[in-house]
Formats: sequence, structure tokens, C-alpha cells
Amino acid sequence: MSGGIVGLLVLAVVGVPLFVVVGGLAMLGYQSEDIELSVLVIEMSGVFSEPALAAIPQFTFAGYLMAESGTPNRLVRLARATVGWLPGGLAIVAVIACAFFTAFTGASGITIIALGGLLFPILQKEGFPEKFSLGLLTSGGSLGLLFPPSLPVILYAIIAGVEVDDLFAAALVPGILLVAFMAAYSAFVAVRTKKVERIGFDTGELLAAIKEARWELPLPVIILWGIYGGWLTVNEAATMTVLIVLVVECFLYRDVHFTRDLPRITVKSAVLIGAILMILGVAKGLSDAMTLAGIPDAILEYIQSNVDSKVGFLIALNVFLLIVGCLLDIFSAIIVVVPLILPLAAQYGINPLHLGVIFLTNLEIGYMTPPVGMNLFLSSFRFRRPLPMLYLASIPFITVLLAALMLITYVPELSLWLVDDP
Amino acid sequence: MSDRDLLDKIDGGVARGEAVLLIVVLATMIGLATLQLVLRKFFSSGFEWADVVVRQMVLWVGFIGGAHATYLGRHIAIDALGKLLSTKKAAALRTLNYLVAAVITAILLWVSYKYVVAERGDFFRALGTEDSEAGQIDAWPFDTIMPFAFCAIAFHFVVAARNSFLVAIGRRAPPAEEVEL
Repeated sequence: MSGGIVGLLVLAVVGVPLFVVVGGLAMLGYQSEDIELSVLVIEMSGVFSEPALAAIPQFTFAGYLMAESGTPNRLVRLARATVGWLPGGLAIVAVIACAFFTAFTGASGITIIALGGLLFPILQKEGFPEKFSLGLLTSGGSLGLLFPPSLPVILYAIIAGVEVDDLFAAALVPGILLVAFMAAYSAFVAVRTKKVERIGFDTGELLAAIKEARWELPLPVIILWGIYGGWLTVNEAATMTVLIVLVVECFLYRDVHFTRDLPRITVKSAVLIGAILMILGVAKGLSDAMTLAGIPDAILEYIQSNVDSKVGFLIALNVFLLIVGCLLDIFSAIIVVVPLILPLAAQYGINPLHLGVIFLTNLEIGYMTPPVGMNLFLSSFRFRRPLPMLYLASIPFITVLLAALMLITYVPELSLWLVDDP
Repeated sequence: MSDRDLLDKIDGGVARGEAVLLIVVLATMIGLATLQLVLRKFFSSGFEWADVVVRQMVLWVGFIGGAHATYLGRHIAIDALGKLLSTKKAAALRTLNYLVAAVITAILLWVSYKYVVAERGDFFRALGTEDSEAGQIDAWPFDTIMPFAFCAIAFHFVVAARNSFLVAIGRRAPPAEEVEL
């Protein structure tokens, strides 16, 4: 049994697809408890009966449509016209554009691919150091994970049994804090290097950028208003997003051809959906097998006898989650780890919404943590730079985000401020 | 490509079938979800079965997409080691990885096949609750996607293992790395 577990973990490290490894672990777990393996199949098909899960394929599809259209260009132009005049303006533009795009595409790494190629040459041209630009775009790839309609937030709410809109409300201020920290650091670097030129504010350009983006601008408003106003469920918001994006990109901007481009984009997005949902299914099985084996109780007992304060627990939690975040993708991490830490956090009196924000922020940072954070691979792939170079480039950004994480973790009011009844 | 043999062609054919199915299934899902949205918001009605079918379409997109992701080699994996090795050594490692993956997927294929057969013959699983309209919908036809998808996945893994092996022994050129959205 333990030999099998070690063997499978080794396989994960040498590159066997994670859904296979997690599926294998789940089957080992069931077998050691003398439970029929078909339970794994039941768990897998059972995940899909979660009502809010239908939002995942729809938001992913809409995200791919936007990524393949002129949205990234229009978004960057608009962000530039709005905040480009600030010191380090273009870097701040990059931070904001990345955050927006990540929220709307479900933090699946698509941001680096879609926006990276656009922003990297511009950052270079305006005098930002290469290392800084690489680090910025690598860490920007998961920034915005806390804003609606981000999929990890939705999934966390489902698994932890909290209200989706409450969790979005709780995550809003921490999300803004992360963006602000990144923007401030960027401005600092821009001023320090002295090579970055500043552009002036141009009302005409701002109006032109708004006019160009006029069909897309209502989208975030409708979605946010719909979700927070209780007018749309998360699923309905996802469907609404798909419809708006389809009409806007295919018929108003005509960036995407209905018969020439749409089938190709549909298949591409479905591949990502498949990759995420397969892991999700087997991760549910693994989580179930661990519960049957009594692992959550064992962990609870161990932690309770070794950690006696809330602060001590929070520190341990942060360290643990950072490791998890750079080993597992965020979706399987939520399914496997959340059931383990929920009862623990309750013991130490941590609000479940605050716990969700801590969890998601940690995993957001885990995305860019060496050696195996997913953003590092995506960046290495996209910008054709060796991994070690990206490790070095992302360290300052990780440090900045860790500082924000400390604030978010130890000042619960940041998370609970906007929640009506925490 | 001259070195594509019959196995590659079958592999590609299966993948094309997956792509067509993915388009059909996603279109159905979005169509039904749209219908529900319009009915709910403008006519205060809707069909319970449509919600249930949308969720089953999520299952289908997940599994068929998973199969297609296998064909394209786009499953989420920690590929740090492969990037540090030489081309041939990396291909040899990949051969082993794909073989292991094929074996585990074959077990999943067997387990899910047995489950669906049992679900079809031995017991009735409904998609909804007993006294709802969706409670009349049988679950097994939707669940059949699981064994089929695992079969396609295992097959794609076997072909990928074979192709990596050919690269490892120098009989085939390594595939070009592509940057794609």
C-alpha cells in the first residue's frame, strides 16, 4: 500500500498526467479499505451532479472566445488610456489587464498565453528590464483569481458549503490588495530603473478606447450586478457571459468567424475543460477514499496535540498550502485539501469565508512558486526562456505577494468587511 | 507527414470523432442553458429535465475533452524532469509514463464498464428525485460515456507510448514544440 503510494507520487514527479496519478491513488485507497473500485466511478459521475459545475465549461468557453478575439488588444488599450500615465503605468496596465482576464477565464493559465505575447514586447519596448517583465507576466497569470466570476472561488464555495456570493464578497478586498501590492511594486521598479518613459494622459485616447471597447464593457457590469444583485445564479451568469461574448465577438466585432473559427475554438476550450474535469472527478474519489480511511480525523488529532494557538495554526496552514499550491493544480487541490482543513479551521475558530480567502490566495501564489508552479512552465513555454531564469524573475513578485498574504491571513477583517453576516 | 502509419491514422480518426462530438455536446449544453435562462427570466418557467441534461452534458464534455486532451498531450502534468533531459532520454521517460498511464486508464475502463453494465441491468439510477420529472430519466445512457472515454484515453496513451518509443530509439523525429493558446 505505502509502496504503491510512493510509486505513484514518483510517477507524478516524472511527468505522468496528474489525473492518472490521482485516480491510481484513489483506487489504492479504496482497495486498502476493501471497497469496490466502482465507487470511484460513482464519485466521478457524482461530481457532475453539482449544479454550479455547469458554470465551469461555459466560462472557460467564453474565456477562450475572448482570448482568440481582439479583446486582449482592446482591454490593454483601455487600461493604458486609463492608468498608463501613472509611474510604471504600463506595468500597472499589465497587472490590471491580467487580473481582469484571469477572473473571466477561470485562472486556467490562459492569461499568460493570451496576454503575455501581447504585453511582453510592449513592456520591453518601453524600457522595463527583461527579468522584471517576465516575472510580472508570470505572476500576473493567476492574479485576479479572487474576483468574480473566477472558477476556483465557485468551486471552493461548492466544496466548503458556503454561499458563492458571500465568498466573492469576502475575496474582493483581498483581491484588490494583491493587485495594489503588485502595482505599487511595479511603479517602484519603474521609477528606480529611470529608463521607463512616462506617457501623458490623453482624454481623446481614453474616449477612443472606450468607444472601441463599447460592446464588451457592459459584460463585467452585467455579470457582477447579476451575481451580487442576486438576479442571476452563477450558472445563469455563465450562460449570459457565453451569449454576450458570442454575439459580441462573432457578430458585432466579427473577430471570430462563426463557421471558420468557432468550431476550432470550441474544441480547444473543451480540451482544457476536459483536462480540469478529469482531475476533478478522480480528486473527488481520492478525497472520499481519504475520508473513509480516517485521514482527516488523524490529521485533526495530530494538529490539535501539536499546535495550540490560532496564529500557530495559521502559520502552519500557510506553509502547507504553499507547498500544496505548487504541487497540485488549484481545482484538485480544492477538492482534496478543503475537506481536510475545514474541520481543523473550525476548531481554531477561523471563519470559513476567511479560510476560503486564505486558501485561494495561497494557491494563487503557489501557481508561481518554484520548482513546479504551473505559471512558470506556461511562461517558459510562451516566452521561450529557461525555467531557472523564470524562477529568479518571479522571486521578487512572490515576496511582494507573500507580504500581502500575511496581511490577508492575520487581519481577518479584510476578508469579512464586505460580508453582511460573517 | 510521411512517417504516419496506420496506427497514427486511427489515432487521428478517433480524435476527429472526439472533436465533432465535443462541438455537438457543447452546443447542446449552451443551447439548453440558454433556453432555460430565457424561460426563467422572461416566462418564469423552465424544464427540470433540461437542467439535468445540461449537467450530464458537463459530464460528457469532461470525459470527451479528457480523451481529446490525451490525444493532444495536454493533460496537466509536472513535466520538470522531461525538460531537463536530452530529447531521446526525455522520449524514453515519456514512453514509460504513457505506458503506466495506459495501464491505469485500462483499469478505470474495466471498472466503469462493469459499473455501467450493472447500472443498466441490476439497478435503476435516476437523474432526479423520485417525484420529479427528472426522476424518470435513467442515468445509465449518460454514464456510458465513461467506459468509451477511458477506452479512447487508453488507446491514445498506447499510441503516444509507441510514438515516444520511436523517438527514443531514433526512428522518428521528435515532435516540434508548439506555442498555442
